[in-house]
Amino acid sequence: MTRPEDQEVKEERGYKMKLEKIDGKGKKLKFIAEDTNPAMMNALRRTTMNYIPVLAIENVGIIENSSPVFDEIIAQRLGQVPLVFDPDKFNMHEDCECEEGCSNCEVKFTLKGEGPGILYSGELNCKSGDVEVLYDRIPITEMDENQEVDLEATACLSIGKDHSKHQASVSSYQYYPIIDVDNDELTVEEKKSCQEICPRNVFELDGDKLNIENEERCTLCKECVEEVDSGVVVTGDEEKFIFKIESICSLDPEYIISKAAEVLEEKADKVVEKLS
Amino acid sequence: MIIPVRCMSCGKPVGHLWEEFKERRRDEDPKEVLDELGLDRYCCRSLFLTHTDLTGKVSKFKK
Repeated sequence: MTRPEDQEVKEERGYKMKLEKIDGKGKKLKFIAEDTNPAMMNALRRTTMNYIPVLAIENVGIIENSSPVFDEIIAQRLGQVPLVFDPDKFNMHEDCECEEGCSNCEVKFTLKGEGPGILYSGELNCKSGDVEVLYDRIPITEMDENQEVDLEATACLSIGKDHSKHQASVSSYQYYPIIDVDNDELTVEEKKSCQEICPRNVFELDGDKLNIENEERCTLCKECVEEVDSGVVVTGDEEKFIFKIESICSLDPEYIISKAAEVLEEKADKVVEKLS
Repeated sequence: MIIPVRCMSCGKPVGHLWEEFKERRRDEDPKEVLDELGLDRYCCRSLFLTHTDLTGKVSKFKK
């Protein structure tokens, strides 16, 4: 619970949270955020998921499609193919100076294939040359003999709120676990069952002592609390969080977090501007 | 019919992993293959375990 005097301290600090990376390679990132609150964490989560501009195919013009997959399904599949792009190079449609779409806000692709065989995302041919697909082995359609596909596609920048194909990441946060174990109050059997029941292997039994080994792995499921009468208390720290993010586009999770902070700042400025 | 490009629940791109999974599932434990492919969440895992390729069969009929 937040007491009034704590509130003052917080305001002095200016809601500056401390971040510490605990795990992360490739598309995944896990960090601890201290001195913050659930509202701030949720704002960050929602922004990383829904407000980061990501490039995806938007319009598809089908010239020929005799494959078993329908035109609209092919278009929908192409839209979901993740693209590698330079985020500083492109503008959103509404922020671009042009009206009809130009090379600063649109990228054109062609896709051509003949059966028999599988048509892969790697065969998407970018006309401007600086955008490519992230994974080139995504099957788009399968063609039999005498079947062919020929189409044109246009990609544009947008946000996850608009369409989930533009979603940048899957993010989540949880309270940092506080696990209190009173070794004197617990019987040997209780200690043993606590260690066994924990699905995340948080506890370790050292002779007669129940130790907390992997505190960060705890998901606050409280299976261990239900196992005993008293002696184990599990709560969440309301000012310390574990934030997990997995990028599902071509951008790095580190970039997504910093961009999210930028977007949030812009949004906050807009509110102040409207009120003044 | 054909493997989805992304997981329907979480949105992670999974289409490119399907062929490796299909090949390896024949003589390996699906659990280990899924773990190695990096499909941690149960949404993506169930998508792979329950999928059936049908495009080959369907392509014989007129659209």
